[in-house]
Amino acid sequence: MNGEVPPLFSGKTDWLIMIGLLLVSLVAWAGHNYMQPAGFSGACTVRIFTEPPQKLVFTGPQPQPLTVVGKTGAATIEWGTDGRIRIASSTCPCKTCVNMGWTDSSSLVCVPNGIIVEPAADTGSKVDAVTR
Amino acid sequence: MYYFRSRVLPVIALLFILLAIYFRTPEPPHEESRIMMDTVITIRAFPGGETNAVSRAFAVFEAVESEASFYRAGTELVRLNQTGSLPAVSSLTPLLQIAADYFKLSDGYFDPSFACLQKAYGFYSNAGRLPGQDEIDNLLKNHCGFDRVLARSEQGFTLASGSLIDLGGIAGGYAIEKAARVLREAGCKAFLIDDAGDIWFEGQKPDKTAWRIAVRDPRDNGSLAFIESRSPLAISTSGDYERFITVDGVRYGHIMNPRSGRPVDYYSSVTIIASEPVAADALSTAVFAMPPDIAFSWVEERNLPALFLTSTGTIHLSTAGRQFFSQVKTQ
Repeated sequence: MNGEVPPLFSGKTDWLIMIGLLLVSLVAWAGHNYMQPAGFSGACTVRIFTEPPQKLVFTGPQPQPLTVVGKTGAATIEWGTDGRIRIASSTCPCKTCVNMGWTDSSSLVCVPNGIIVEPAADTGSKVDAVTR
Repeated sequence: MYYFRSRVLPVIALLFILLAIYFRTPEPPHEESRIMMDTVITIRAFPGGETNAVSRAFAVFEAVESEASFYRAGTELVRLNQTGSLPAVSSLTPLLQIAADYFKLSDGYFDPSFACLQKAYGFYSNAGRLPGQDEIDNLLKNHCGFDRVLARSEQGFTLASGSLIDLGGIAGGYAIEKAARVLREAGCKAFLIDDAGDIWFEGQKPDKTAWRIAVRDPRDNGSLAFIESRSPLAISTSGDYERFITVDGVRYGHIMNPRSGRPVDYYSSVTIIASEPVAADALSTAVFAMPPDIAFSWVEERNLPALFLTSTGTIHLSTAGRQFFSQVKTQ
């Protein structure tokens, strides 16, 4: 080397390594920022607060309504053609959960029956909680 | 080539390691929901606190419910409503004092003594009915007005015969405050408490993003607006869409106008942001009971961040609300 410092990126190999690293970085960055799943897929988690508690995880809309049995009896969870979810019926006295209608973001809750339906939505607007 | 491999490559490698650390998947929070206080309560605590902190925070809700539940047999509140008296030293005393403070602050629009009106309308029995004008007048005159029907002396509290107190309008916020204190003292650096939409959050999340809260649009179950903050905030929404009665096909919400004694129908929802959970809880109920001309100026005078969705679909944002609410729907 005779004490001389060669110029940076002097060789072809250096340039190839550098371009390769940049490409890898670019792909990783794009993946981190843009490759999140978009749109509501009908995925949801159904929690049933019976003893022991149950947790049902659905990764997409189901062709048939789901019937679960909560604290007061049966409840029917239904997916619409657009993937949204609702509690179609429940054996609770107040029917608040049924009146909540269709959702693709807010959770549906049936307190008397001990049932929560949580849409696993990712519409690019992740939230920590919903005030209602 | 020698220079690149011996000097630049290690620096680039170090850079990649640092980037990997920066973008690493943070440890997930402890998140748990429980059905308590006639609703669902969720606590999300990020790692850093004592392992049983969340359970102890839930125990606070249980304790408040055992003191202030309107429905559960044997609570201090049920005792007050049934016997008309309560000793001066009672676990309910702080809550009754807070209720008195907010009754005064809100010019009587926050009134826990409306419970007798709600009972007359059938809210507690799920058998909705419309009481006659004479019945409403009698209840307003003789059984409503928190400062008139609940007397405090050295001997304790005395409730007027036939009156009822329901602390549901502040018990949630009160429990959130106490539970937050437990989590804080247990070393939790960042957590969120969600009591059926009454929310409190504080601390920095591990991914360093702001807390993001959606305001539910009751018309389509979508989002009416969003709130983003890195500072602690209390958020509460009062609405007419989750607790109501239906009589002859007409829906009546559970919050009463203190002047007319009738369920209010000015808004679909009112969201209030405050620095304390009790304040957000009580004031969202109070403002919901106010007619729009009073409510809009009331929140302005107090520089209160507020978002109104009126029953006709109009959206009104207070001046202070403009710095907190984002992506507000235009209609």
